Amino acid sequence: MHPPPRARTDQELLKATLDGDEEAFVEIYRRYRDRVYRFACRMTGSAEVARDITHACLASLLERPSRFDGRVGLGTYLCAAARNQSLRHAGRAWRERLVGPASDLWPARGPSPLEALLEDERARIVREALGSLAPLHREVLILVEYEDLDLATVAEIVGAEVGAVKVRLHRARRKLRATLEAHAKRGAVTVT
Amino acid sequence: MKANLTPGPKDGPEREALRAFLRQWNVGAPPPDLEEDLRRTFRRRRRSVRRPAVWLALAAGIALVALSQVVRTQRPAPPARPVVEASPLSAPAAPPESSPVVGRAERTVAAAPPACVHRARVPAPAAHEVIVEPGQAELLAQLGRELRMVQPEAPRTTALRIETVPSDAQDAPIPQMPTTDALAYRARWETVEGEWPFVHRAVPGSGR
Repeated sequence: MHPPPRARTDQELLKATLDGDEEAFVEIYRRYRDRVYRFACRMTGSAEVARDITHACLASLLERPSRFDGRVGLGTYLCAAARNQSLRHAGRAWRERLVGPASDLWPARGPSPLEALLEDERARIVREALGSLAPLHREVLILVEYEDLDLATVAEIVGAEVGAVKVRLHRARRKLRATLEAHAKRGAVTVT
Repeated sequence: MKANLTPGPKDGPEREALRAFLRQWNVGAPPPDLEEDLRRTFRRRRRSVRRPAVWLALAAGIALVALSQVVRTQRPAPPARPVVEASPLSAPAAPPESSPVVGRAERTVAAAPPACVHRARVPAPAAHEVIVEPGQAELLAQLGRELRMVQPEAPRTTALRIETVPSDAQDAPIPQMPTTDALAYRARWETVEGEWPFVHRAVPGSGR
């Protein structure tokens, strides 16, 4: 019985990709698609924009492979690329006051239509609360709370010191709590 | 890596409540057509990388062919006849090989290259020769050595070639210069009077 084939490292996959191996490129995509897509979704609030950002980040590996110098992991690099694209989009959206449609982000999955409706409503509140944060605060909160990344990795992604990340995270939580309390006063959400 | 969404021992109830609140926003997987899109992007990129390589190879081949054509057309044609360098010092009746004077007529191209040889070799220009009396050869050699020592990199200086004539050599008559040649010779040298020799130094020991 043969041992299972060893999974190729990111560097090996990237080298094979640049050598023309399409499956290696797809493997990179499958390895990091969820993290990049979810992060972009939560940063921009739009599934369509997140799809474009994910595509652009992966395609940048083909267009400009020299930008990835191997100092950080490939996942970190892709997250940083998604972060840059998201901030660019957030700047445009802030200027144009665009709010993405809510229905393309969380399709109803509840057991009953009423539960699905409630779930959608709660998700909308979370999305709006996150959207009310400044982009620099929102990104560290998403990376820490959703993507389970440690502070050092988050600092590499956002290009800041660990201390600055801590400060931003603290302010993001405080602002989020204030937003939730405002919602609770209106009876929309219950904060224990 | 710390699992931030899972409750930790140091996390207070506020942090847990915040996480529970955030957990209500679930984002689904990326759309399945995104993978196919990326595959298409990859193939398009690979084609665009290959295309310049093909064109580059083609252009290099065409350039090589054109260059070879240019080189072939610019080759000098082989001389049909031997080239004889004319000199004002050369007499019409040049002395035979036994003459103590080195005649310029001897520097005739030996023979034309055979017709089957395509690449004709252009003869290098011969160094100027100075015709001196036999007794002055040693002085000139000494002067040459000194000049070479003083100006080792003087431009357009060539090594002196001293031909020692044996003492028992038969005296050959110095060819007479025709009158017309003598006038031309004088007119030529009057134009460069005072310019030669360009370094005038007394040869030590010679009293000059």
